[in-house]
Amino acid sequence: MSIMIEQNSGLTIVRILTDSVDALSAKEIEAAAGELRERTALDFGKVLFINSAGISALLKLVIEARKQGKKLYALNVTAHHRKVFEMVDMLRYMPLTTLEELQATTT
Amino acid sequence: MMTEMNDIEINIPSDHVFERIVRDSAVVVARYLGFAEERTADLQLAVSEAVTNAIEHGNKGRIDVKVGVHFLLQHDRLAVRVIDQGGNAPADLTHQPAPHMEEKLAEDSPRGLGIFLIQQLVDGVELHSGEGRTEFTMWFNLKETPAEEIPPAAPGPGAHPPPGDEQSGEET
Repeated sequence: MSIMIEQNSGLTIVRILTDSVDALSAKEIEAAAGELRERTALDFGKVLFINSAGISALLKLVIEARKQGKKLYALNVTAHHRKVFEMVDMLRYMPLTTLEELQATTT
Repeated sequence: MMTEMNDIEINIPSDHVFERIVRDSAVVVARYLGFAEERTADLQLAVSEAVTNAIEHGNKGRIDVKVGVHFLLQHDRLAVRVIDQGGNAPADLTHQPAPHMEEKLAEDSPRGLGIFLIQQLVDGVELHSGEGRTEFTMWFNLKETPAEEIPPAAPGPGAHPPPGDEQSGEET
């Protein structure tokens, strides 16, 4: 199991449990598309490696969130992964935030 | 001190499971050479992207066809050469413009970021492609990984001094 989903009112937290977001874990991460709520935060706290196949899986979540008019956020992103996300303009669609910030604005 | 590492060769079947072996090996090589942690992560990602490309586009995912990866130390730079059996690779394999994310998001299966990422992470790329064989080489300048950038706890057990501390030897 690569992800664990936590649901609160209006907020989904997708805990990514695998250390690699890549071609092998992509399918399970994409499956989170069925769990999106008004706001969904992906928790990268356990992730040590992300490549373009993994970014593709994340983009599929972005696409699905847009279709549903919902918002995606990223939690606990390392400096290296932040750099990679910035290279491909990912943070425009999945901005960085903290759990505290999200919870403070959850209705 | 002259490093003992001049050429390491790994061959894997064309399956993503084995890409992880190469990516982990890249980390070992980077730490052996004294790369800073950020530079190590860059190398790891670039190698992963090149090998993924070789598996998917070069060898078309045929598990019985091998991807070869060579780590070659040449004076002040590390070359990582990824070899597949695809051949006739497109010339734009060495030059991809920045992705238009809005266009990517219009696709059902947004891919094609790998080569762009490699370009951002390495110091140079080189492509040789002909009938039934493609060699994609990425260069990493060693002088960009000075020892003072390495966090104290970063190198693993048995880490070696950075290449800058070594005397130059003959290229092999």
